[in-house]
Amino acid sequence: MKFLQLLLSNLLRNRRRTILTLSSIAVSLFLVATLRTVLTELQSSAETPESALRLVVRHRVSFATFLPIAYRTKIAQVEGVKAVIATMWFGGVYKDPQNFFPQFAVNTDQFFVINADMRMPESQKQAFLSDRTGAIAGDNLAQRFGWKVGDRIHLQGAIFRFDPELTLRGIYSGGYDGGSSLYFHWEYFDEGINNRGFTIMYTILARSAAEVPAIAERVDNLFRNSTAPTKTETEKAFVLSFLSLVGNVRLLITMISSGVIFMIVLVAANTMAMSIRERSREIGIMKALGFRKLHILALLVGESALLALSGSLIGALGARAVFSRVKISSITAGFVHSFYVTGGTVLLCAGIGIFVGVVAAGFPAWQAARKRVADALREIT
Amino acid sequence: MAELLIEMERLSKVFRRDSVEIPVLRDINLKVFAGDFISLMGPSGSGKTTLLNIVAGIDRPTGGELQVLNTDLLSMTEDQLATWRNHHIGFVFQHFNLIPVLTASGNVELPLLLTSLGRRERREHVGAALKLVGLSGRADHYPRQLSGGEEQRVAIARAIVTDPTFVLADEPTGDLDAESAAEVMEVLAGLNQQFNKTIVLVTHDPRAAAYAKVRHHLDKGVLVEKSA
Repeated sequence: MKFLQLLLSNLLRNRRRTILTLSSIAVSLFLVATLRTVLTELQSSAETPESALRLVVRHRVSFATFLPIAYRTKIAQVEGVKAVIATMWFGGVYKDPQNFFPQFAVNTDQFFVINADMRMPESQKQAFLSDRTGAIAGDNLAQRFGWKVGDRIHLQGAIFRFDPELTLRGIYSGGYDGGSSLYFHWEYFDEGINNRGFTIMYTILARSAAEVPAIAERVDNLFRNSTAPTKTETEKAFVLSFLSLVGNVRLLITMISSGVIFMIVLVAANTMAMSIRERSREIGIMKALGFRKLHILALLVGESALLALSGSLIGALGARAVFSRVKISSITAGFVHSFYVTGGTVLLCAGIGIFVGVVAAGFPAWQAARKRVADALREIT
Repeated sequence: MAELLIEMERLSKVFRRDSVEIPVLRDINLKVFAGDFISLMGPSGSGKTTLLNIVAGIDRPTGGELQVLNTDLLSMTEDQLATWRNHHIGFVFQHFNLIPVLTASGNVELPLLLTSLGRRERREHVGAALKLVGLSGRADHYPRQLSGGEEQRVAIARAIVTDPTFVLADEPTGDLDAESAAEVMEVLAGLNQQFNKTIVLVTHDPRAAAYAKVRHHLDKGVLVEKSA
């Protein structure tokens, strides 16, 4: 602590240089904190007790291959299955192709049994169930377009030749999607596409969490030798596998973050090299006064680490403050429900800052520390 | 009989620049006793600063023997020499060499940061040192806010704050006008007379050298003359 005043005084020696370096580190760590949070949020789904009981059944070959609607009855009879519905991705356009949001045609008779974590007034539930052209929307989605219960919602089919005319019967909150999807009747959809009788996936509610693995195996075994074999997995695993469609996101984010960190090491190293070079004679004086190599090394590396740590905390905490005020669900069309920069991410950024500071100053500080006193005193600065 | 602090026998120093050897000091024999105030005079390039640096353990001789405070400096490592300097040597440089981002008190406190003294004790020592050089009222001023003479007095305060065994002053009046130079020399003379501080002064200024009790002359690396 007694050296802190010396550290701070040297940091403020050239304020412009210090502020510029601090800012570049802060901006870089803001980006790193953001990227890490993107990864964390994409890999996590809304963890509710209900979501742990849900499984998703899809075609083994790909997401885009249909399953017969007749599978529903058979899946319902599998040991451990409490409820099962067809969940059909519609993918239509609402007014403008840029207005993307998830749209599903679902069997409504067991919809609220399976999605017990959705919160909605009972009257709205009943209104939805009793109206074949009715729809429900998440609260974030409704807020995004200014929908109210009773509004007419016209979708243009982009995948299917069917333009559903829907009436909004309810607005829900909660659920695995964080209130960002729209649901309507599967029967209405099937009628619109001339009763072709298929779905893209089924959603299952298990009786208990312990039975989930066994249910997955039983369902897949049931259809193993059929023309449409299935792959059954937990809801969380399904979401994660969806994410992998866009490639190795984790690797991409890691590479970008590494590039950013490397860049700020270079910036900080340049700053420290200049600062140390300017103080060569002063360092000689300090050694003449009795400062040893380790003192000099610790002071210079400590100064660099303090600078980098300050910048990284400003960046990480800045990201936390900014995103706590941003409605990320609206911006990402519901793809990302929440965006919270965790304490763990802030700590990680702090660690990165210290690492950057130490690495940046390491070599020039070591060179300065081992320079002979007589040589340092002869330098003209 | 005063204690023998510094003893040099046939001390020599040769600098090597590429393949060229440059002898700077040749067969220096010198003794410094406790309470002495000696000056080493000579023209530029005569080896005065090199001799001072060797006594302080900042540089090493090429030949001869050197005992400072009964310690063989040549057997010590760089770090051991640094610690030894902090305990025994007060160094006053020609160009003041104050840390520009520290106040006067901050500069004077610098050597004390290496001791085990607490914050209050360090403040007391700093206050006493600044009072001794007549700069108690300038403790919170930065070097850029001080005159040349005041800066050098702060440097003297820094040199004595750890109560070193002796003070080495390398051209302390080199960058000062006559009035400031006199102020600085009065302070050094006062340390010797009132506190019996041993002072080795290197200078090319005869007026500064006049303050010393014993004056030596260095010429082309050889101690040629001594006068009292």
